[in-house]
Amino acid sequence: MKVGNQWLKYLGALAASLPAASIAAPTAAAPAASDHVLAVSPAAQTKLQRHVDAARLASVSPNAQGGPWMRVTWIEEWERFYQNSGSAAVSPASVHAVPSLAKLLDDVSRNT
Amino acid sequence: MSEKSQRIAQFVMKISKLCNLRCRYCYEMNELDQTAIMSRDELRRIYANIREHYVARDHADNARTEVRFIWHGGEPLLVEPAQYWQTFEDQRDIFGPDQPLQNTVQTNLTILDEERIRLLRDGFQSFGVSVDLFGGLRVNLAGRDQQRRVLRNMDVLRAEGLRFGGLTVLTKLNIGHVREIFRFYERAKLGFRVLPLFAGAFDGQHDDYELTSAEIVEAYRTLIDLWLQSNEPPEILPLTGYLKATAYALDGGTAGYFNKRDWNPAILVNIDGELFHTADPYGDPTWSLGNLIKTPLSRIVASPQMEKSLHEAERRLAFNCTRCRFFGKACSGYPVVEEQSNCRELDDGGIPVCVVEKQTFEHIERRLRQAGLAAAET
Repeated sequence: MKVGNQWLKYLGALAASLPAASIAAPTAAAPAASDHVLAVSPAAQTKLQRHVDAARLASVSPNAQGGPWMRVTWIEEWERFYQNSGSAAVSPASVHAVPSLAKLLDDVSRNT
Repeated sequence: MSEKSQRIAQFVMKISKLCNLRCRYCYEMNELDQTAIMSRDELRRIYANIREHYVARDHADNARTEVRFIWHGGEPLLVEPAQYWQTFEDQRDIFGPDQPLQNTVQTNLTILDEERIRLLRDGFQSFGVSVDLFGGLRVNLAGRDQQRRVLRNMDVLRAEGLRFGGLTVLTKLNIGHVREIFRFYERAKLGFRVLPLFAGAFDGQHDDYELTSAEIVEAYRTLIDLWLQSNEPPEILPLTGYLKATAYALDGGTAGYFNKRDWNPAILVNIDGELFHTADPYGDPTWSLGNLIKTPLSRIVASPQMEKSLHEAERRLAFNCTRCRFFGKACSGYPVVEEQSNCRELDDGGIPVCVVEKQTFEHIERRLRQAGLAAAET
């Protein structure tokens, strides 16, 4: 089994045997994003910072030393997000504060 | 994930192809009228063939694997709830009481009764609801859009306090509405996944709905910008994963490398037991990894078919990722290995080229630097 640095060397050798990417630019290019600087919300900043802090902690945890699959596990956690996030903030009480989802969709369609 | 488990192995179970909808883009379109269901005996054999592999692997690695079953169809909730309760019991019987297990389901949520509410609440650990919000492509056999019914059923489940996420397929008909889609999920406090349309069931199926890479990148950029500015930013897969990974990379962290040889976290099990990796041609017998009803997983993992699939994934990785500055930092290579939707263009040699993810990471990095959330580029 190819693992670790040996696997990366293998990928490098495989890459060397393949042609350089040649792809028509018009199909690949999306218009450049605006230079406008966004006002990043405190909530978004907090979410990102929490992740960075958790990732730092996890990188020195016993689990992280336990095997290279730990990082893959993270990816899977993101991928299957609704395991843990979904409507985490929703309780029966808060549901009643939001109109029916059909009405909500009508509202955002009109006002966005 | 269970506290004691260190890694996840997921099996996407095509329990039945039968569906009460005929979503215009469905990749199972040719089989949606088939009434066959994986039998109890077949499922028990699948569990046994999975179990022996992870018992041996966990023993060898001194680790603990959580096995997840993600039930797909067709519409998996057309299957009688009693059959799920039975198979949950069978799982516990075969895997034993100490094996971490999870069951999740992806549903169109057009059918909901008391029994199914109980199943979603007490049987499955989580579930996702497919709803596109715009475009009218999710129709019944008579061609009528079923979205209002789905939204009503989502209301019922929210009132019951059930947690779930949305899955929105991006097509030509709704990609112009990504702002509204974002606002809907943000205000509903629901996480969601955006899934750009991928290969269909037959040639020409997607002619009226197909997207270009540039359109997907533009939609992703819009969603990322909305997320960054939101006071209640919802989880958006895969984009919040990319945002977090980029923030960590700019802080000096690394995403690591996704080496499927070392750990294989996701396999699709077709209704006949044939296994596929998600990025390989689904249903094409020449890309089947083996049959999990008939063959132990450990033998399939060591098979020439598995080697063929892994080698093809590594060619994509080698071609795209070894030359990419995000590889190993913000991106592990996972999108190139597992996703179909980000690599629409082929190079001259027929290898899929990563376009969408690369431009998305570039956009995120730029935004985080502009906002002062990372050091400016030198």
